[in-house]
Amino acid sequence: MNLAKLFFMQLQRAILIPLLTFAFIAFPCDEHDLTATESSSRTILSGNARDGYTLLYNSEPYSIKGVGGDKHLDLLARLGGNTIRTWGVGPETEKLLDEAHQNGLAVTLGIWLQHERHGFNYRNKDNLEEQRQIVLAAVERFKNHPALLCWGLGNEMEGVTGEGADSAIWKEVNYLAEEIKKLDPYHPIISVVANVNPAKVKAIKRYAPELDILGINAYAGASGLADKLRQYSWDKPYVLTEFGPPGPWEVAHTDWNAPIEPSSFEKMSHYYASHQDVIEDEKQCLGSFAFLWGNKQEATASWFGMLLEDGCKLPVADTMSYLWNQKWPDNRSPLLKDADIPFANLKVKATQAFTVRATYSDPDEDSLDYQWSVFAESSDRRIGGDKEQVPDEFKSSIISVKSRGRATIQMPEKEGAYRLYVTVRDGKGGAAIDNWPFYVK
Amino acid sequence: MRIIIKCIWIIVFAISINNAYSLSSSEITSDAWKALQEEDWRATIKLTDKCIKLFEEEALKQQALLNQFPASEETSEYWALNDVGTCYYIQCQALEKMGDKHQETLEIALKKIINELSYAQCWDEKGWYWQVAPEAKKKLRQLEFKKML
Repeated sequence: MNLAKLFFMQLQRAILIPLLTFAFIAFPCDEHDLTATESSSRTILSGNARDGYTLLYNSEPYSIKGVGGDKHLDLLARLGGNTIRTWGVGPETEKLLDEAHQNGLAVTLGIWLQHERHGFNYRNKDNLEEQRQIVLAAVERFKNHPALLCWGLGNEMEGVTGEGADSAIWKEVNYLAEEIKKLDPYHPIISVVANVNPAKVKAIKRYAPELDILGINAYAGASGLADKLRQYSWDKPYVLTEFGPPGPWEVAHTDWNAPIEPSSFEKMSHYYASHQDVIEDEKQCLGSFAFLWGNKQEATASWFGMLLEDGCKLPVADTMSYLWNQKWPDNRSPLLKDADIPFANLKVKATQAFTVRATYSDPDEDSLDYQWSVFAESSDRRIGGDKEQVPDEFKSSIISVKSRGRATIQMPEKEGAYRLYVTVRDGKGGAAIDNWPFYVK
Repeated sequence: MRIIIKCIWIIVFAISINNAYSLSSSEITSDAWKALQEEDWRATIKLTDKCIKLFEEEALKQQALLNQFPASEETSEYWALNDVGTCYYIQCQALEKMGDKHQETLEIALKKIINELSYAQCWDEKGWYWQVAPEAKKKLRQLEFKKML
């Protein structure tokens, strides 16, 4: 060993190692930068219409067991989901992608495309140019993230009414898909539509051939989706990108036009049936995303949520877990057995008092806590899932809460439409929620 | 000449019978929908049974003519198929409401739609036809799920 080498070794021990250790502790690496060069995801769509399609995520066959939503990802992973779907990028996107990755989840990253009902014009060059810059900047920014499964290019931008066959919209989607592929050839592109009809499918085939996968949001319309797509000659793969109970626009209404929400028990069978219907189509269907992993006001506070606001899971979350794992989760949510609400779907007198009862069972025999509440009927009804205001609560209507799911409810004084809600919790993260509309005359 | 006139009469007679049947089946179906909305399950069953008894044979003949859903402008030509398929579906909804003891009958009726009346379509007042068999299939899956709970 020569002197120079000995000197260098001493230098390494005395200076370099402590210096590098300090540098690692004081200036940790940006994980995203690291993954950008070493572990970016690669998703390949292989196959054809005759033999069937397969999604390969990092070289492994991948069936999407997904939900739409971006909260409580640890719970989703525990219940057996493997993918989330988002609708747009924003300041929190990178954090969300990191969190998904940490939980072993992949992401179909939505890039919002504007809707004409919000004032955008697909024939206006300035509108299009501005949108193109936003879309391509998002692709450039997130294309190397290891959690990225696919791009979700737009959601129902063809409109939720009408045929959705506007060539200007689909030509623009095609242009964007082409440009995205130039920046990122490693992630397929899904465009999401509100249900399908022959004209819409024909327009997509004709004007947007660059799309790799069709995403379809369908609620009551999810039944027979695979057959419909075959009838309309759709020969590329597809994903059921939103499904759940029939929407407020698809159910019976009361005399005062309040939609009657399916019970928490009924909803379970809707998720089950819609999922099974498409998943049997092994050739073209690549999986599904249940709606909504979270909670939102859409007609009611509970119509589409799979979780309560506090993160408690509802029976439909258990249903999806069953479908993903072929077994129920360890702790099950309460199940509605029976309800006696004398004023459900009826017009009643102001200030009249009623005894109500809702009976739930808990498959794990946990003791249940019942919380009753009265809210005004939503007066801020929108279409296409647009944000709605939460209506006012009438706390004074709950006169008393008794054991075994009984309560005394007094009708509000003011004439108008209302809903009675009951929220039942098992104290271990499981819950159920149901509601009944009524009208005070 | 007499033979030609006779033939014309036979054709006119056949068309009028067909129209009469068509009218009746659609009327019975409308009444059955009404009974269902009024939650009169017994009347619903009675009306749907009547439609099925009178027109099922014709419905099956019409189904046999198809190997895919007819073009939208031809849908109404399959009047018996559409009305009988719809009546089975209405009956299923009533049976479901009537409770668990009717589950077996309900399943048989749903399977009838799926297997034998698969191209039946139901006219929606909103202005379009919807396919009955996918709805029956969904209902059957929902029953399958409820059995698992």
